[in-house]
Amino acid sequence: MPFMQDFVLALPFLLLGAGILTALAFSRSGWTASRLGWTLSLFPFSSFILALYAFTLVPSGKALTFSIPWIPSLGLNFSLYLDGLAALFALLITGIGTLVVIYAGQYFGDDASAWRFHAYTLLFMLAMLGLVLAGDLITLFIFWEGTSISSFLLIAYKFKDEAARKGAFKSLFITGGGGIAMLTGFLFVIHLTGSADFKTVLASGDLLRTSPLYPVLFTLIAFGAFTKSAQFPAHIWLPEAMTAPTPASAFLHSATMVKAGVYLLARLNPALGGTDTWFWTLSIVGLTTMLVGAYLGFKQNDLKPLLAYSTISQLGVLVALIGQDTEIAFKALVISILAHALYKSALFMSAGIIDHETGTRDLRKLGGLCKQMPVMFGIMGIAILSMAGLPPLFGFLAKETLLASATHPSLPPIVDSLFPLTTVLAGALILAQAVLAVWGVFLGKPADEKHPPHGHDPNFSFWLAPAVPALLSLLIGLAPVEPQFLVNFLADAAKAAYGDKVKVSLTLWTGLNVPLVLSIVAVMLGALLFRQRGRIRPWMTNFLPNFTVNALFNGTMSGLDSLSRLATRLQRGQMRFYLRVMLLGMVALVAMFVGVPAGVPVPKFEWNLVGLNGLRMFSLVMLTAAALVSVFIKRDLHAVIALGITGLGVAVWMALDPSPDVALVQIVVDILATVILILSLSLIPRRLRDRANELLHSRKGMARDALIAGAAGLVMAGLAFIALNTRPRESVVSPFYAENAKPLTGAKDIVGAIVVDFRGADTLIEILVFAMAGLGIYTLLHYAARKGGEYTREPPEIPLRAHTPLGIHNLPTSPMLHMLAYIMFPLAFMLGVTHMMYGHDQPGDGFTAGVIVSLTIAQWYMLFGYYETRRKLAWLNRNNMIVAGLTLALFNAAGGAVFGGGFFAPVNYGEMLGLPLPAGFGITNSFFFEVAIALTVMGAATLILDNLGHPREEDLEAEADLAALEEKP
Amino acid sequence: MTAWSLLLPLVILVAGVPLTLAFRKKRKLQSALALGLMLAALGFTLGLLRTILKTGQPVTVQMGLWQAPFGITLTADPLSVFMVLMSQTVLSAGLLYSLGSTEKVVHYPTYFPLFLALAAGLTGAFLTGDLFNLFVFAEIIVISGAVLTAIADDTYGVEAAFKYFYISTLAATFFLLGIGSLYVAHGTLNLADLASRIASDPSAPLTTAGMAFLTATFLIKSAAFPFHFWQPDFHAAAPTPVSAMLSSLVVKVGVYAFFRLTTLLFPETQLLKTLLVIIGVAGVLYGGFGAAGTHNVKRMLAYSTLAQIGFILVGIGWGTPLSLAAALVFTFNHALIKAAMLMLAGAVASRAAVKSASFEAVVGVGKYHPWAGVLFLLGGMALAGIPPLNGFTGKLMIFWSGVEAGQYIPLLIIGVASIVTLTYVIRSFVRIWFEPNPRVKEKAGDRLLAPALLVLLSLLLGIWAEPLVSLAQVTAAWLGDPALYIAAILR
Amino acid sequence: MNLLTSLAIGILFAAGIYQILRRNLIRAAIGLVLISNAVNLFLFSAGAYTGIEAAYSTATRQVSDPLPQALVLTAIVISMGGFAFVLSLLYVISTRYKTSDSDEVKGLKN
Repeated sequence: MPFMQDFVLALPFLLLGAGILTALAFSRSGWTASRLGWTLSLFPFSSFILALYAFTLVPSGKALTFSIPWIPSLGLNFSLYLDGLAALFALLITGIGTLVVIYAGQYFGDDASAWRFHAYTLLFMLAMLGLVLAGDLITLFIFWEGTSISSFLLIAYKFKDEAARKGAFKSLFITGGGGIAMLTGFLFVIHLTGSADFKTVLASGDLLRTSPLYPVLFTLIAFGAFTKSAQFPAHIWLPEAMTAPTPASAFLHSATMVKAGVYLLARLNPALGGTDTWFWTLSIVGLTTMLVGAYLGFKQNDLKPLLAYSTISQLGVLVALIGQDTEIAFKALVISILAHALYKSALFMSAGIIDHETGTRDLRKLGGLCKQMPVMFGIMGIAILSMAGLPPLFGFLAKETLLASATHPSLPPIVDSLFPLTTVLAGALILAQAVLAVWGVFLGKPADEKHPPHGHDPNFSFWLAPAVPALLSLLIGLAPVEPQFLVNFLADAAKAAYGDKVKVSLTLWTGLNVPLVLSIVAVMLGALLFRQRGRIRPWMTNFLPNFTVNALFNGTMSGLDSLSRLATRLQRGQMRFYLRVMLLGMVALVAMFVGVPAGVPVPKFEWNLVGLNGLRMFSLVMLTAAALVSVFIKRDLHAVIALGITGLGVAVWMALDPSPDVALVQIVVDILATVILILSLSLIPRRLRDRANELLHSRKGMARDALIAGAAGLVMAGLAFIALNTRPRESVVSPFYAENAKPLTGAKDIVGAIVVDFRGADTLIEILVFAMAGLGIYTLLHYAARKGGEYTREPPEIPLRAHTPLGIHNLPTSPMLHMLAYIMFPLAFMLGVTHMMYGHDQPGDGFTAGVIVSLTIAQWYMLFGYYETRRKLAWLNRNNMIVAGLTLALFNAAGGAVFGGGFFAPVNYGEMLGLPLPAGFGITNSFFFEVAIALTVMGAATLILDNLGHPREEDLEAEADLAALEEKP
Repeated sequence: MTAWSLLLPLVILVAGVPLTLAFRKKRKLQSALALGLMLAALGFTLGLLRTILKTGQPVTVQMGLWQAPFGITLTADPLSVFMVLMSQTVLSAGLLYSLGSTEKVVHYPTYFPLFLALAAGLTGAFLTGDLFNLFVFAEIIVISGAVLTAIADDTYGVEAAFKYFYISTLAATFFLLGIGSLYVAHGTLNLADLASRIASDPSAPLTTAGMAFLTATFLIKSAAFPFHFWQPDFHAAAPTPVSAMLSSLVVKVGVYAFFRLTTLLFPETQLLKTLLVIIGVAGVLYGGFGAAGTHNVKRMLAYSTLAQIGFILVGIGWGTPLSLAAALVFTFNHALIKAAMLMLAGAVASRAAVKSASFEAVVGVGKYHPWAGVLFLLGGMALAGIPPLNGFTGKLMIFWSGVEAGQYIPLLIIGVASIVTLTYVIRSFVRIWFEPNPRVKEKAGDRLLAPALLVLLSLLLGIWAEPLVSLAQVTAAWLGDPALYIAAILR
Repeated sequence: MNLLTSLAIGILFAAGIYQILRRNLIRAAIGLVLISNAVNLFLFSAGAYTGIEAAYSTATRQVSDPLPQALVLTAIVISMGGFAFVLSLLYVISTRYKTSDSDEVKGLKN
């Protein structure tokens, strides 16, 4: 049943996922950590069994695979892959994972909030398992990042403690950075091999090794692996990750997290290994790490950092071994991985127990506990001897094979001597610190005789977890006959990594040979170091007291910060600066684009004054002169008036071109603009404006602005010049309008026809914009600005609804003016109506109509005051006018769809119903559109005018609504 | 009839403006109406997507039956529908957030009309096939966005709106200049018509000038370095639901325009593409460092938008099918993530003792809101492109296309920059959720439903990325052949 | 003729730009109007041909290009709306920041 076989691989994930859910489910149950721990340990345990079962299904030297499509369109799958190597790691992860979960339960005791820790642990386990079971590069990367994140959560578990936060961030920063590099490297591999799947990648080793891109992708991938496996100089995150609760450390730093990089290198060895680059990089980095780790470890007084550094050293060994392209090296690799996982997990858990029982991990405070804690003494003793590599422990075997591989003749000559030397040295240091640890905790006297540490052996369920791996490393060593299953198992793992058959033997005694001699040398040297520790360790701490790569990391961080400050300083909040940059950018872009393709054909210049009559000349002079005046004149009011004149000049120019419609609108808008400008002049206190005017920043500043303005003006002028010189030319669309305006839309006025028919959609959105502007001003001045209480709430100067002869701001007004207003309003209204009716045949349109009417309403405000006007013209509700206008416009467009066969299609209802109508006026949907425009514009313009006109006066509506808001939560 | 399948998503929203304004006095009804219309529009957009995927042909509507290029053409081609779908999804979330927001601004009677105007503007801008019509829609976006920011509870809202508006006016000016130049050169405004004419006569006077002005316009609109200066100020001060829309969608109008410029109007201009890559890389760096250096969560996210837009522009600039698809995926994902993150930032700020998103105010506030923390962490992972969140697919595809295009130096820089992204995301998370805070906090605040939905969607699109990716690839393939677009409209 | 016209447009535009770079907010607002005037004139001159008669279907002689006129109409209205909104902004700024100097409007930075 092949499917079942494949699915077996997916099952462990489901189990762990279920575990996480269980942990969450019990979050509120108030269960103690230990109870929860026992329960949850079932999940990793069962997946351990499953992994074991799955491995038995693997035909020797082959792999079990499982794959489902993930992003088919990119050719990416979610795939799993189980062979010897993966199985070795999978079993370590789930096996030690089970122990860690039980241990964590005991460690947190009756802390009911530890479900979080359990959940994180299982999450991390899931990610780690996925990492080693991944069947292709992308899947591997996904789980890789998963381990980074979940370990971040584990390390930051005690987040109240700043060190924990820092350590977590550091580990995530370093491993995450490595991850990105690694991903890029993977993408290169995929790019070359055309597939992410291991089956393909591992098979196409020659292709990769010979590719010119090999150095790039090797560097990137190796960087990723080194950062994860804490290789020098990226090892700095590991000691700080010790701020994690001990169960987490035991898991992360023995079997899992830090082994990920080693796994990756071993996994890809068949594809990428075997080159000189590979050999040298891995050997040098690995050996350096091994030495540095061992050296720093010997300095430590705290148990956990001591173990952490020995881990680093051990990882260096593993990396260096992968670098060697020899069978025996890989034999050493697999044995060391297993040995290290066993003793290191045991040691961390024991350290945790000692800390838990005595309240300290400091070797100077501890001592002489062998009587109080015999069991722990036994467990930790075994584990530590295994770490020291002394017989008859499994660690001894590991070191033997390691040394054997170190003395293997097939190595290049230089390393031939270097490798054994460093190995022996490191071995000695490790041995020394191992003994140091046991001595410091159990045998030696505490530094402070007065207060010897108190503690006793914990109950069985607590020391069970460390006992199991410790005993295992003893048993494997002592086994009279080498356990065949284990031998084949490791052989398979080694074969998967090495790419060829590897013979593994687990016999301790291999006769008197070089490795044995070397290891005896190492032991003696170690013993010497231990004896002389009193002299050596102080010397070590004084020699290069701050020998640390953290400077590098901190340097990076502060560099990042200073760059950030630089970036944000550019963001200086001064708008004129922003505008300047963008104007210059525009000029630069024009220069770049127009300049690059051999420049545009600048028409040859001839001084012809064709069509230049007096009026045109006049309008030109008028608008330019007025514009310049508005720039240079002192008082704002004058500038505004000059602006108005400019607008009129523009209008005249447009009228002369000739295009009456535009000219008309231009005039109306110009008036409106001038009016509201004057209104807001009255709103902004004079002194403020004068001060701003006097703040003439340096002449340099003015010159700079003038230059920028000049450049922009030149671009503009050049543009216009070329544009004008291309006239006359045939237009694509305009003739169509000219021909079809009358017959198809019944409009004599072609421009009007374009506005309301051909390009009606533009107009609809245009009035929407105008309406939104009106609503915006209304909302801003009546709600938002009131909220802040910026207004000096002066009481209304008039009793509400009381008739008064006073106008706005209590200006006395004469009945004469009132009369004028009474006449003006209906007149304006008539004018507006005619505009709407005949806008299609004559100049003028709904917009003009709307503005004109609203201007007269503004006049009423001036004359009658705000409330009086609102009372007189109560039927003119501004918001409702906007609503009506927009709705009508839409219905009108829809009407086109119903009767005209298309949205916005012209319909002549008048004809349809056969109504008798005056010439030049048709009840078409264009007419309704004009009405809609007029309504909307009238509403919006009125909103604009009266809000800018009287923002300071009380507004009952606004007050009421604001009050309502206050009540709301 | 197919015309309506295209018109409805737009018309519903336009009609929503007067409709919601009519009910300005009945807030409950008004808000329900707004959300209902928004969702309806979204539904019709999905229908539209189905139609064009089934037929493999874009839906085209000639407004008023005036044949292109004489009338105004609305076109729903894969790109347009892709962008509309993105914006309406996020806009719905924005409305949802507004319903649960504690800010005063959402209670103003004109809030929902303005919001719907914004929505209509976005939809129209993506759907229109006419250059000037695009300008008009861009203006409705500008005005409604500026108003919504100006009326914010934040005192600085007016300043933000003021800066934004001046700079947008500049952009509008450039836009009009560009339109004018192109009209001078080719005598038409219809995009398809323009494209075919430019292709046949690339050396017409002012064509290049038009290109330059349009580029300037859309660099400002997409807030790309160094045209971005308004953006962090603007997005940081806007009301939370609005700033979520601005930072995730409004800048995408510029991005959309660059898709059109590089694939439809000026496919032959290498200079433009190179420029986009350079500007994009600069933006990625600047935005990353800015985000790491700023003092306010919302502002940090605004800077990060700057960086993410950089990624997208780089993808557009490389111009390979894969990189275009990557840019599209990135665009979509960024919209979801950035909206969610800004909403979360706002939700946290609304629970701070001092109502502000500055780090001093929100340090440690998250402690009592673990679920917000989970969401923020997930969103942050998505932002940093960490699997299994959807941000990963976008990043993966961008890097991949870079590898395939052999663009190693930009690749290196954006790689480094994405480490910076990880840094500021984690830093902010640690600050808000892990660091202790002396101040007392309020329990009540903005509702988390909307960001939760967005984050869940991000997670879903990260785990089940196939639909989005394949859609993006279809779109990229379509963009690869402008002739199809032209033929579809000028048939 | 063309030269003079384009110079006028250029001057108008330059004046506008110079104005929006002033510190006084009112002057900056004036700049906006100047700019929009200049742009409208440009669009206007982007017409395919100048007419002797206005663009009416009854015209007997050459009419001026109607499309740019329609565009200018739209542009004018839009810029008008925006302009009004800017003025209201300036007013609120002057009450909140107690200034009319754009360089002092720096609440948002870094």
